Amino acid sequence: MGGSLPEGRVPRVNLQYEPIGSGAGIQALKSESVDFAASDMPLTDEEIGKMAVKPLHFPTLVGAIVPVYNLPKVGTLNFTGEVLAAIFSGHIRTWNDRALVQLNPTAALPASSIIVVHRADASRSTYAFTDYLSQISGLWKKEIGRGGRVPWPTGEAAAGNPSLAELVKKTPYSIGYVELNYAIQEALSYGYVRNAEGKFEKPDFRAMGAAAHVVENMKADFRASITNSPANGAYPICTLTWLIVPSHIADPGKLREIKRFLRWAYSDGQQIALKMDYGILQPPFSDYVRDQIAKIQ
Amino acid sequence: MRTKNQTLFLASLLAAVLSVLVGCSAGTRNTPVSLKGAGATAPYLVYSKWVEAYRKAEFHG
Repeated sequence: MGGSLPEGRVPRVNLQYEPIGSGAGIQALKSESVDFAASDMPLTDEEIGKMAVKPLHFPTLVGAIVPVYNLPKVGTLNFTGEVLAAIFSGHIRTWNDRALVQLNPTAALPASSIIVVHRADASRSTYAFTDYLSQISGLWKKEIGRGGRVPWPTGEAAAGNPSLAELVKKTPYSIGYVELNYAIQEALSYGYVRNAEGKFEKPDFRAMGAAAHVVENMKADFRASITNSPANGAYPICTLTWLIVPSHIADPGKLREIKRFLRWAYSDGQQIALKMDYGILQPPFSDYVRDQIAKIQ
Repeated sequence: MRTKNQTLFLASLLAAVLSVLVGCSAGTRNTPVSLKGAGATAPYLVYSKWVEAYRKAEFHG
């Protein structure tokens, strides 16, 4: 991985990252076969308590899960959590359902049946999506609940963000949910979702960054959930990815270089993430996170 | 004449000093420090860009 290096120059660090899944990454960190893990789910207090060296969580990226749909001649649609819950649970079955028309009075919604597409595999996209729906809809919470994998009552299944995006793209009148960058890559239509303020927010880097402004929660614990964030201007279905680093690193070279890398990740690295349609932490939270780098000893 | 124990002690001391010197110089002169990470697949597009950009940015002066 990576491009060619300038001739005759020696890199300070041989940085490697293997995308083996959050759970496997955490196991590798526990067995000390890696220097850091990346996870879509933070460690629980119980998991941390069992680890010999206390790990520190560094939230690095804010991702958005967006409803994507394939509706010819229909532009951007507005959704609420209640309506999304009703669609994905099979209670709303046609695109011209009254609830959808009320949210989108100028859209030419067809009388066609809605084809739901969901994930076949366990995923953070599903977790964030169903976590949000469970917070908004009592019906969803009762009938289906939240999880990386849930008992979907209706729809077709696809494994992974790319496959789900592809299935929606080739299936007229379908609706699914993917990470924003996949929707953009596949040129899929994606909707705005009403946030806790009652506004329909476009899922862009501003709305994703705003979601992380859950002041008290984030300041107290960087593992906080940012789904259905009450912050102004927040897109409501957002999720964090954390780098998890041991608080004590015996090797002085690794200690120095991992701190250097983290400082880089919160400066140049964040700019790269922005260009790839991810949100980033903004001040003062980015400052709090930078302060935590000093705690690695 | 040094005793066998003295010789062994000096050899151990020398090895320890060399070990510390090598450890201190690793990553600061010519030997890159190895940092391995693993985990989530969703942010891989970004993290792979980070790895690529960081490799290009960080060199021994």
